[in-house]
Amino acid sequence: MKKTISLTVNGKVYRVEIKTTQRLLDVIRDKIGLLGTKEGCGAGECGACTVIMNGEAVNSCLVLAIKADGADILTIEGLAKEGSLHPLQKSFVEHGAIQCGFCTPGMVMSSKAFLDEHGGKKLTREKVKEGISGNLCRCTGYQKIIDAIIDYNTKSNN
Amino acid sequence: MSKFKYFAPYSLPEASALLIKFGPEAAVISGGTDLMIKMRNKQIAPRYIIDLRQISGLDFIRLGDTGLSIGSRTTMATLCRSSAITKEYIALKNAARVLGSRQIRSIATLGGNLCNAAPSAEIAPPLLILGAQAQIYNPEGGRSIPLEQFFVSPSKTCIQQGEILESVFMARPEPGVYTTYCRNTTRKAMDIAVIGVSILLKVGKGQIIRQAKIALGAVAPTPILVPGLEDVLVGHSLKDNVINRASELAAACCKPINDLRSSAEYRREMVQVYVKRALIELKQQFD
Amino acid sequence: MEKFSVIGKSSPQLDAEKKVTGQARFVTDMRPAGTVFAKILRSPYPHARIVNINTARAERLIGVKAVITGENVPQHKFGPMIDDWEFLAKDRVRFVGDEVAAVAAIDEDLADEALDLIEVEYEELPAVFDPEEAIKEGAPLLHEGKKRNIAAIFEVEKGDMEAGFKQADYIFEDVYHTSQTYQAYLETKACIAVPDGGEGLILYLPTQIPSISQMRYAQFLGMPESKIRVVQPLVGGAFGGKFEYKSHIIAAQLARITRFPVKIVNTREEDFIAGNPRVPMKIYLKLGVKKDGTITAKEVKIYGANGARTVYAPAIVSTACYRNDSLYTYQNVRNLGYTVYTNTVPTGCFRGFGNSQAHFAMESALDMIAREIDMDPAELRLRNGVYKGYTSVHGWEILSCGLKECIEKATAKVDWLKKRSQPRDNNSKIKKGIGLAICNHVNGNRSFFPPFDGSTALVRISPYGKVTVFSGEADIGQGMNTVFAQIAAEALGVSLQRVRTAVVDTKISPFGLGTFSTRGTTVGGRAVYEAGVRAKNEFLKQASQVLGFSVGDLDIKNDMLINKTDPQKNMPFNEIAFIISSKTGGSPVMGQGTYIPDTVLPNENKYGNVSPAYSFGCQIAEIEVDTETGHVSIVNFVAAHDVGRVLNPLTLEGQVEGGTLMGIGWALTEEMIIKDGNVLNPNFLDYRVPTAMDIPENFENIFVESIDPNGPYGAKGVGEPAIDPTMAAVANAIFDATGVRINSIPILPEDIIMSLKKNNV
Repeated sequence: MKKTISLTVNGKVYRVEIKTTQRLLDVIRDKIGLLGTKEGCGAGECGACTVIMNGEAVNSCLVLAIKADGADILTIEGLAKEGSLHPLQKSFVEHGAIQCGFCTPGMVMSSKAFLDEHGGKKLTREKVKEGISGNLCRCTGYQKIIDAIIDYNTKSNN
Repeated sequence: MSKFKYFAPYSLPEASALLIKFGPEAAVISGGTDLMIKMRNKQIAPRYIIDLRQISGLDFIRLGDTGLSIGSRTTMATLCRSSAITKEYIALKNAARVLGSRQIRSIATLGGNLCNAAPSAEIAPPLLILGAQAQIYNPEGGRSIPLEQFFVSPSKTCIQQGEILESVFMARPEPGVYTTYCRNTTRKAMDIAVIGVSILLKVGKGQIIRQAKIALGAVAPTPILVPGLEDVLVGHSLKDNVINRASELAAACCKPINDLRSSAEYRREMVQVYVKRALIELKQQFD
Repeated sequence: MEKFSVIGKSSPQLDAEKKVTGQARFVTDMRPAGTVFAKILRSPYPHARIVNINTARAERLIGVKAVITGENVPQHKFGPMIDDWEFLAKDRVRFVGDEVAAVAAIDEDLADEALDLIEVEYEELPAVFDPEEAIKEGAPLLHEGKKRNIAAIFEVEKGDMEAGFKQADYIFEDVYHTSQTYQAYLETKACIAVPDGGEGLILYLPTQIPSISQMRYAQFLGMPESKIRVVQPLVGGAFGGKFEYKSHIIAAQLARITRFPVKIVNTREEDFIAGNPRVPMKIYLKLGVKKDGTITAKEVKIYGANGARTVYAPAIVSTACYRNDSLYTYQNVRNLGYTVYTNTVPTGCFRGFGNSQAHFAMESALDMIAREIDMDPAELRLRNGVYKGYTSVHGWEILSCGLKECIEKATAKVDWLKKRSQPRDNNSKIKKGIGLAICNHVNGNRSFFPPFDGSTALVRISPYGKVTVFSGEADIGQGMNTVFAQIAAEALGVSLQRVRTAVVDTKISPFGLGTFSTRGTTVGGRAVYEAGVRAKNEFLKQASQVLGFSVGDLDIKNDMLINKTDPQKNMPFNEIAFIISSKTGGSPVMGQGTYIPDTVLPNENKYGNVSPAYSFGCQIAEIEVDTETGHVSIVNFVAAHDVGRVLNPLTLEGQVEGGTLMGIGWALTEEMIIKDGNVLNPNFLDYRVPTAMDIPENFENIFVESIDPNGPYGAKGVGEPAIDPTMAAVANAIFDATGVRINSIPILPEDIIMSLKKNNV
């Protein structure tokens, strides 16, 4: 069964024909061609496919594409503006928060969503850990990821 | 994932009609966090999916004079943030806050968590202690049942063909009511409850317990209310021996199983520990 | 103090910006024009005879390009260590997940649909899952000619065991069990096989061993090596899990048949049930110790599960048997290791490679011994640990050793003696504990691929002054390419921004063994250093010719060609590069560097020197145990590692923090739960990799620089040492906190509660 949906991704409106079994993740990767969003488990258990949908972080592997009809989506590709990294991305790079990089896009999007949710308030280390606990990283041991988020959070408070 | 036909009706009667038409081959999708995984693992292969997303009036949290009403399509994230969920109902927020991950909570709904009927469902024990009534739509005008009667067995509720969970209602607790929810997991996040405990206490003069309810998750085929607390807690203040007796009673009444997440023995032990801890936590609140 | 301008300084990975913006491309992101998708039909039974396979319905499906079964694929047996692999199961399946058939179709859904249409009739056979059961007479046999299911036996005895135990004042004996853990890299195993004209194939593989893949897959597929080209783009984590793999050759075979590019990506469940997880081991350990702490003899017997066919388990079991004998100075050893076929998933490499299992047993045992003889556990290690200049019982030559310093610095950091002797609060439900363990590890393993050791790198300077490093070693996400670029930049005298390490492509890159045995930095990096030095010399020679200066007057520093006699004549490196290129017909300035380690292949009695350098470390875990729930929180973790020399503090710290957390996961939560041959938790919900909430509250890195004579600038590897001591450090801390000793990892909350109850603590 095919359906047509329209959705906004990184500020651009797309009209795409989808199969009902397709997930938001499939639309982002295969229909729109944005390959930054990764599939790590397909079951909402690793967070690699995290995107921001209508302001909230979601696992795009658990969202039927058709349920995203009319949604506003932000993916990792939508963060950097005019060729310069979003300060949060920059912080990830500088703090060595990135090793193999496969979890990175989802991790960044999760961080972005919960930082936004807290409206720039200063966050404790514990709070940051909680905020990214739906994203698995097997390389870094998370310490440097948390450092990156805390540093960004501190700087945006100053 | 097996192929299916997708419907997003605009009203409950329409949705209900579709469910009656397609019978057991249809499945309702709300947030989809459980359904998507079951379909992907081929545990289920519904040929028709009925999405509730376009039906208005299912996504609300209303605190009125008589009580708190929550629409079945309300997400866990909304529950966590809602200011309508006041102190007496805090157990609900405690539970919503630890369910799945942040990403799951963005889309997982109250109705989904209940209708999936996992014995470990986080949101069930708080609703049980708060005396929730499930408001169920059906073409005959609907029915309202106490949540205790809602769960039948693992993955099975009392929802009949053509019925849809609309909302839950909890009467406004009387003054002096305190609630909480806590759970045991192996990992500190992103885990299924090994056991879950939710407690409601109404405290009167002299810190005497006037009403007590304890609900448990993951220790029986459905979430359960601990019977017989009247004798143990009501009329007493929370002294150590009272706390111990209550936690022993809770442990004695559960029927846990061995599964890959825990042994029955550990579950029973943990019920005792967590009931005790929850009672102590509540005591600290009203002391 | 030597002055360095690039090494020793923190640099993020050079491709971090690509990764953080979503521009990085993994094999899973690639789709060459015309790509078809393949899926593998896997056995639902742990052991069964295939009575009949009917693929007719699948073949008739429109859009299906090919269906293969055991009947229409290469028929010979093969394998990385033992020829016990079949291309696809022919008559028998031997584990749940065994490859039975494969389908290539125009899209993934269609391939899935076609799989469902393949009818296989099985006749179930008796199966065996535990190595100690499988080795018994009368157990169901997995492979013809493999009596008692033994895939390999490792045996070594040195010194005088009888005398050794006789000298001992105390004999310690116990049994340890280590769980089957899963690498849990975030990118599942994948492959794209692209027809490349004629018989040829290009394989895009997220692999640790590009060159060996080319060689082995040629054998497996019955093709000449020259017809296979392996390209290794980014790898989304590997940790030992990405070696030779069936889906790679299945994709290759389907590409040969269909002449379309064929892509296979494991689902997470497939990756769990049919990846190559860690060898679970049962370890019987016996140690003799004198009152003064001297270890007089060590005896070990190990049973390791090979799974249904051999990947690398025999090498892993042998490592578990004897590698840590070279951490201590005892001279009497008897080791016996059985690698046994079982009807479970074939087991393979995983960070630690058997040494981690052995360390859990040995370091737990030493903790008990220290208590028995009333000696501080750190002191016991210091008394028995190897040192610089020592040659171990197996002939391993320790040329650099910071073990003592690691122990001293780590214990000082946590105020070890004070914390160990502090009175404990017996009334508190929360009990504090502190535990220590040490480790050694190789930096390359001479026995892994006997015909070959060493590494070669090319450093090429472009006409525009950009530098590219070519190596056959593989960056698997840990940042090796960045460290190689740093080494080349330092050797050349240019800035890091100028240097990049090329993607490994067997058509272009030198042959390299690949990334395992913690060899990347030490062996591969040394070759890069040699190549960098030669490239610099060549550049200076050519510059002197085109500019008419004496070579001896020239040097390269800070991206400038320096004229030592007249600083006025200094010129930018890139301008000189262009002048050289212009005057030499575009000939690139190149340096080739080779490093052949002075290792000795172990003889029949396992005497030799397997590695050019050995890494050491000491880790300390400070924990709190909730004695009512059994939950363990890591309050503080100190990891002190002898890394030879720090090349990049940032990536080094990251590697240790990651490796250690992997060890904490193994110690406390990670295990593949297998019942009747079925993995019950093939997902990230019930296979519990630590989340950000599960990390140590505080983490301290200590790096000891022992300046190894063989490593580049003295550096040694840390990839595997980071996990080797972790499990025992945690287990020892749990013992310290609660008084219960648990010899089986993971130590789940439930295990602690049940042990406490049993001991009435």
